[in-house]
Amino acid sequence: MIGYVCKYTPVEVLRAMGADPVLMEPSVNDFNLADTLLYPNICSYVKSVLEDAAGKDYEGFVLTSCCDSVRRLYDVLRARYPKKFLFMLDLPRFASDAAAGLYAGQIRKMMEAYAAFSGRQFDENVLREIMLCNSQYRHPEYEPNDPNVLRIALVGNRCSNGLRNLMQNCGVKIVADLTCAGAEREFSPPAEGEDLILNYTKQLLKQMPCLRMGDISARQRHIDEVVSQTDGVIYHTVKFCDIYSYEYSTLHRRISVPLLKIETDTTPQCAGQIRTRVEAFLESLAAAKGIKPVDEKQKQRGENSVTVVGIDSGSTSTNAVVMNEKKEILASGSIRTGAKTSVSAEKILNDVLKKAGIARTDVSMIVSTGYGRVSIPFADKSVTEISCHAKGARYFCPHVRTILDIGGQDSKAIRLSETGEVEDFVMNDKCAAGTGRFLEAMARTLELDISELGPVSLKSQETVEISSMCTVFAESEVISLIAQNKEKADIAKGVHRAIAGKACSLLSRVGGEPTYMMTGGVAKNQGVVQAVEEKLGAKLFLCKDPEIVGAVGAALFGLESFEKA
Amino acid sequence: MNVARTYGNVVRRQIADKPKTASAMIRTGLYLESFRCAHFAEKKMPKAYRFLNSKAVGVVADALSHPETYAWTNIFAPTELLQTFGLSCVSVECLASYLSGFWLEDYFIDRAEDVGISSTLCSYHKNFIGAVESGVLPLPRLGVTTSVTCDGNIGTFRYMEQRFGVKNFILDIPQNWSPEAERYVVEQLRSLIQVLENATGRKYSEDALRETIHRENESKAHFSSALKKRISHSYPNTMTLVLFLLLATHLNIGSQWVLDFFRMLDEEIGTYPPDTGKRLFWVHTTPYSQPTLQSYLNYNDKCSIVCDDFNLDYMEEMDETHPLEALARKMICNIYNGSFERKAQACVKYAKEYQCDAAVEFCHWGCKQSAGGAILLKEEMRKAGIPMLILHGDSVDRRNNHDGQIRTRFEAFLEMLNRGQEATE
Ligand code: SF4
Ligand code: SF4
Ligand code: SF4
Repeated sequence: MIGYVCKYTPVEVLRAMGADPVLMEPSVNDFNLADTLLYPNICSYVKSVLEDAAGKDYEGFVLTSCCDSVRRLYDVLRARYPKKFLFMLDLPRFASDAAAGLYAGQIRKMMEAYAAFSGRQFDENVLREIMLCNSQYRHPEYEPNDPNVLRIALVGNRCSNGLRNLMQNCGVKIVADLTCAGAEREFSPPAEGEDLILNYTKQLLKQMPCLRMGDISARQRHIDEVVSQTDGVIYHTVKFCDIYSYEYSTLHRRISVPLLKIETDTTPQCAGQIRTRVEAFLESLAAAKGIKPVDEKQKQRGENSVTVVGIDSGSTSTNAVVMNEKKEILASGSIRTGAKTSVSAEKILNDVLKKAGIARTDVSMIVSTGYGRVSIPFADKSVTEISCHAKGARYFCPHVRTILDIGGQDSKAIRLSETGEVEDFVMNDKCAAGTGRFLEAMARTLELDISELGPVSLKSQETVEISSMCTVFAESEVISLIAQNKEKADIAKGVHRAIAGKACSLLSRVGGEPTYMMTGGVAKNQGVVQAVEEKLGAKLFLCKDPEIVGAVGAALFGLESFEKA
Repeated sequence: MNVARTYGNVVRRQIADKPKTASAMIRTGLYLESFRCAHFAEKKMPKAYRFLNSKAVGVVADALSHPETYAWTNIFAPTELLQTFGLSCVSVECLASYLSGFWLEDYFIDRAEDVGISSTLCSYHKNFIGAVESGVLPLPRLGVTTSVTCDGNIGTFRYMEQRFGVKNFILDIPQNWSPEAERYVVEQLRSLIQVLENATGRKYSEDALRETIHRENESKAHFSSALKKRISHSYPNTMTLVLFLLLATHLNIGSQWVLDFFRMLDEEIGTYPPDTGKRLFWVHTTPYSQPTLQSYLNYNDKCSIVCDDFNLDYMEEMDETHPLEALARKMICNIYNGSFERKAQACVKYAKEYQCDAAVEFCHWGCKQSAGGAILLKEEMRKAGIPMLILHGDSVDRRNNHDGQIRTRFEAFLEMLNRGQEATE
C-alpha cells in the first residue's frame, strides 16, 4: 500500500508496477503528533496525513510538490521514516510539452526508485490497458435532469467521502466534483508512435487544472458551464489551506446560483458541525425547488536575617511564598487573580506576611514572576516564569529534568540540564486548549465542581473520545455526549485524556526525559495526572503545593541576589 | 504621540469615500519619510543605513507615483531583468509592510477577509489584497511572480489579474537544478522578455542585463565582506532595517544605488567598536512593529540581529556571460526553493560563519513554508550547538501578537543564553 495525495500522481504507472496506490483520505481524532512535528497552522489535511502515516502500515508515500504544506510534510516524513519508500514528484505548474518532458523525467526517476526499493518491474501493457479502460468514462453532469432531485456541484480542494456521503444521503446528485482527486481519472488511448510514459504524462497534466496550477482558464470555463446546470454549489476548503479561497472569492461574485462555503479539518467533530450547515443549505434549496425534505427529524525569622517573598502572578491565580535564608518556606498562599494584577499581588503579599508573622518592613526583597510580573509596582526584581519554574522545581525535586506546567491559561514544558539550567522550553498559550481554563469549562458543562472532576474520572469504565481542544467546540461535544447518555465519569476521563494528549505533545516537542515533574494548579487533579502518566509511560513527580513552584523559584532568585552581594 | 499613527488615522478617514486622496496621502507620507531619513535620521543610525532607509522609502514612493513604471513582483522574481526594461519592482511583502507602517493593516486585512479571502492566509498578502480592493494602491504595468516557496504568490497575483486586469506572468521554478530544469526556466524567461517588450515598447538588451548582473556580483561581494567585518564589529540596526535590506538584496539588486549602498556598508562597519552583545541569526520575517522585540533588538548593544536567511538566500557569484542561465540558476538554487534541508543547512552555515550565538525564528502567522520547517530547523541548529527560539506572531497585523507571550519567551531565552555564558566562564 502506497499512500498518495494528489491527482497528478502517476497512479496508473504505480499500478503497472504492481504497487497498490491508495488515496489518503484520513479522518483523525487529534493532531498531537502533527502539532509536534509540523506546526499547528499547517493545512489540516496534511496534518491528518501525518497522523495516518503513523497509524497504518504503508509501504511508502508518493507526494507531489503541491504546496508549502505538502513540501514540509515530505521533509518530516523523510526524517521520520527513512526505511519506507518516499518520493516527491516535482510537479510543474503548466501542461506545456516542455513541462511534460520534465515531469516525465520525474516519473521515470520514481519508477527507477520504486523498482530498486521493491524489486518490481514496470509492465507497459498494464498501463496501456488501464488507459484504454479509463477512456470509456461518462460525465455525470450530462445525465438527464430529474426535477425531484437536487443537482449540486462540489468545488474546492480535497474533501472526505464523509461529505460526499452526507450529500448523497440527503438525496442530492453530485453532478460535478471539482475537488482534488475527486473527479474520475480520464485517459485517451495511448498515442501511437509516442513514448508511452511521455504520452501518459501529457495526459496526466491535462486533467482539469486545480488551483495550484499556473493556467486555470479551462477550469473556470468548466465551472461556469457546469454551475449553470445546478441548483447550488458547495465550496469546500480545508482549514489552513489558503490557495482555494481566491477561487471562492471570485466565484461568489460571478455565479448566480446559491453557494455554500464550508471548511473542514478532517476530524469527526468538525463533520458534526458541517452536517448542520450542509443540511440547512440543502433544505433551503429543496424548498426553493419544491422538493420535500428527505427526513424531517434531522436537527520564619531572627534579627538581621534575610527574608524574601516570591510572587507568581498568573492569569488565573496569584501565588506567593515567604522564604528565609535557609531556604525554608515560612508561609505560602494562593488567591484568584482579580481584574487588577497589582491589587491581587498586594493582597496575597499581606496574607502571607500575616501567616508568617512578619512585618512588611522586615522583608529584604520581593521578586515577581508570571504574566503579571511587570505590573507589580512594589517588586524589587522580576524573572520570567520559565526560569522560576525551573528553579522552583529543582527545589522540590533535585533530579528533575523535564517540567510540565499546566496553569490556568497556558501550559508549558521545560527541559533542564543535569545542573538544572533551562535547556529548552515550549509554551502553548494561544488559546485555552489544554489548560486549567479548559478544564473549568468542561467541569461546568458536566455540572461538576472543578475539584470533583479528577475523583469522578477515576471511576471511568468506558473509553470516550473528546477530539476537539477548542473550548467552544469541546463544550458542544460534551453536551452531545451527555445527550447520548454517556457516564460523567467516562466523559471526564475523556476530557483528561484530551489534555494529556496536548501535554505530551508539548513534552515531546521539548525533547523531555525523566525525571518528570508536573507543576501548576492542574497537577492537583488526579485524573489529569493519571492520564498524562498513562500517555507518557512514565511517573510524574508531584509536590504538595504544585501551584507555588513558580513563586518558590522567584523567592530563590531573591535569595541568590544576596548570596552574590 | 506616534506621528505615523496619527497620519495613518487621517488617511484612514479618506479610504472609504476618497481612495485616491488616501493613495496620494500615502505617497506624500512616504516622500516625507524619505526626506526625514536622509536629513534627520536617528543619530544612532549608521550612515549606510541612512542612505538605505531614505532610498528604500523613496523608490517605493516613486513607483507608486508613476504606476506605468512599476511592477508587482515577489521577492524571488528576476528583478534584474525587469530593471533593464525601466521597471521598478515592488513586492507584496514590501507594500504590505509599508502600509502597516501607517497603522492601516487592520483595515485592509479585514477588507480582504470580507471579500472571501481566507483568514488563515499570510497577512502580508491579505494586507496587500485589501489595499488594492480599497483602491488605495495604484495598479502597475504588470505582475511577475515565481513559484518559489510561497503559496500565496501565485494565488494573489492571479487574483489581481482576474479582478483588476493586471497582467500576470508566472515563472514555474523546478525544485532542483538539472540542465533540463535550467532550460525550462530559461525558456520561460525568454517568453517573459517578449511580454516585457510588448508591455514597455522597449527592446531587450543583453548587454544591459550583463551590466546589471555585474553590479549585482560586486554588491554581493561587498555584502559578504561587510558581514565578515561584522564578526568583530558591532553595527547598530533595527528590525525595520533588516526588512529594508531586502530592497537592496532583492528588489533593486543590480542597480547603481544598491552597489553604492553595499560599498558604504563595507567601508563603514570596520569603523565600529567590537560587538560585545549576543549575536542573533534571524530566520524569516522581522516583526518590526512588535514593541518587546523592538526594545530588545533595535539599537541594542547587548543583543542584535547579525544577519538573516532572507537576505542571504542566494550568495553565489552569477555568470555574467550567460545572464538568463544565471537568473534561472539563481531561482532554482535559492535556499528557499526545494527541500527544507537546503535552507536548514544554509542557515546553520551562515549562523556559524558569522559567529552567531543563537538563532530566532519568527513564525509569521499564515506562512506555512517557514512555520512548517521550524521544528526541523531547530533540530539542525541543536546539532550544530546553536540554541534556537521559535516565536509565534504576526509581522504585519498588530492585533495578532500577544506582547506578554513574546516577552516571556524572548526574556527567558536571553536569560538562558546569559546563564549559559556564566556557566562556561
Ligand atoms: S491542489 Fe492540485 S497539486 Fe495540490 S494536491 Fe490538489 S490536485 Fe494535487
Ligand atoms: S488542502 Fe491545500 S494546503 Fe492542504 S495539501 Fe491541499 S492544496 Fe495543500
Ligand atoms: S511570509 Fe511566507 S506566506 Fe507570507 S509572503 Fe512571505 S513567504 Fe509568503
